[in-house]
Amino acid sequence: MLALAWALLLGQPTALGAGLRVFFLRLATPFQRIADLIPVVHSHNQLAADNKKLRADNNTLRAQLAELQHQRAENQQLRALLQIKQAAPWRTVGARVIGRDASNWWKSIQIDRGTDDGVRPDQPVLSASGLIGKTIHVTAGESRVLLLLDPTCKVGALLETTREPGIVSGANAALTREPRLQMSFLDRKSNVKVGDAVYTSGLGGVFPRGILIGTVTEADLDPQGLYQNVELKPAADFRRLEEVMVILP
Amino acid sequence: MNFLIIATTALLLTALQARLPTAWWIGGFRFEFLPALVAYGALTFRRRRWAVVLAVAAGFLQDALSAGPFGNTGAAYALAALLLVTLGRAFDRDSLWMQMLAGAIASAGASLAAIAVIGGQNAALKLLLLAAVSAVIAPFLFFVLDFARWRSRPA
Repeated sequence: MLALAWALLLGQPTALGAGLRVFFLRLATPFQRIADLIPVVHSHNQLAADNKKLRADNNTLRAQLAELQHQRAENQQLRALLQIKQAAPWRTVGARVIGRDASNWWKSIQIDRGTDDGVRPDQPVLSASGLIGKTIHVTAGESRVLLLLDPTCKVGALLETTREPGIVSGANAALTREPRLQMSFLDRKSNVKVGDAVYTSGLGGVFPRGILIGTVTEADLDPQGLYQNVELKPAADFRRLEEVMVILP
Repeated sequence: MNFLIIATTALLLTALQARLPTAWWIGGFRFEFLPALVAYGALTFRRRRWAVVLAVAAGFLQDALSAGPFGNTGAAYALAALLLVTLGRAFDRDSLWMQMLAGAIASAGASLAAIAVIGGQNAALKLLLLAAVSAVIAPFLFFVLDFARWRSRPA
């Protein structure tokens, strides 16, 4: 048994390992869904506060939408003038989060869409606020999404202000604070400011260009290093992930 | 009957582990229940083989609902179970401290296996916290499963 376990671990993706993963996933998933039957009770005050905040957000978003529609029309005119090829629009599928990671050491979620819905491994996953991660293990009806917060998830990124490229990954957060992202391999001379937005660069082939990842909260974490590392606050709220979107191939 | 109780418990604990909310204010901490089950199997089953089978199955269940490499936790739990079977023969299985120690050892084993893959930055405190939580959960699980198995015995 031990030899089998280590073989699966050391042998990396094998058919036997993948088969066993799917078998145990199918065993556990129905039990996960039992948890959906437990009603979630919210206090009246919490609901009222959420409602007030959502109304305020709605007004702000309406104003931003009007402005963006104007800019989009202008952008299309300018693109037509310059004859720049329009990027293909993303095909997306909405998904519901049905589970979290059963381990403390990896950060992932399980969603209720799989190969039957066109989802494949290494597809980007977004929330309304920004990038969340990418799909890794995909079965017919479910997929596991590796979150940006996971130290093994790496994303090619650009600083909005300086267009400086770097790599964003999850940081092994200390227990005393909320999880954060880290942007590494930035030019040491790069003038990074707190509040600068960071977007996907499109390099690497998994994540399309221009998806918001987060904003800089602390610059130059390692003043002695060869490169500059900065800390980011993720744009997506990982604490309240309920509905997400998967970008289809 | 015993098999049914243990298998259902394993599946329920796995689902709980994957569904309970994350404590984001302490670095994304999540409760883990499976180490306590591994400890229970190792200190309770008469045959070492069954303790290891339960440990590997619990590890595989956890790995199936995780982004980690498949087999990592299964191997760690199996090694922990082997150690605990030996310890269980030398010490009193019904001692509260023994049960707590067993929960902590199973949890620490899985944590060390994960750290071997992702690195040890900021990991020591998390490992200790997880072991402490498993140490607290283990005696409760021992009590519940002992009671369930005792009730299911034919009269």
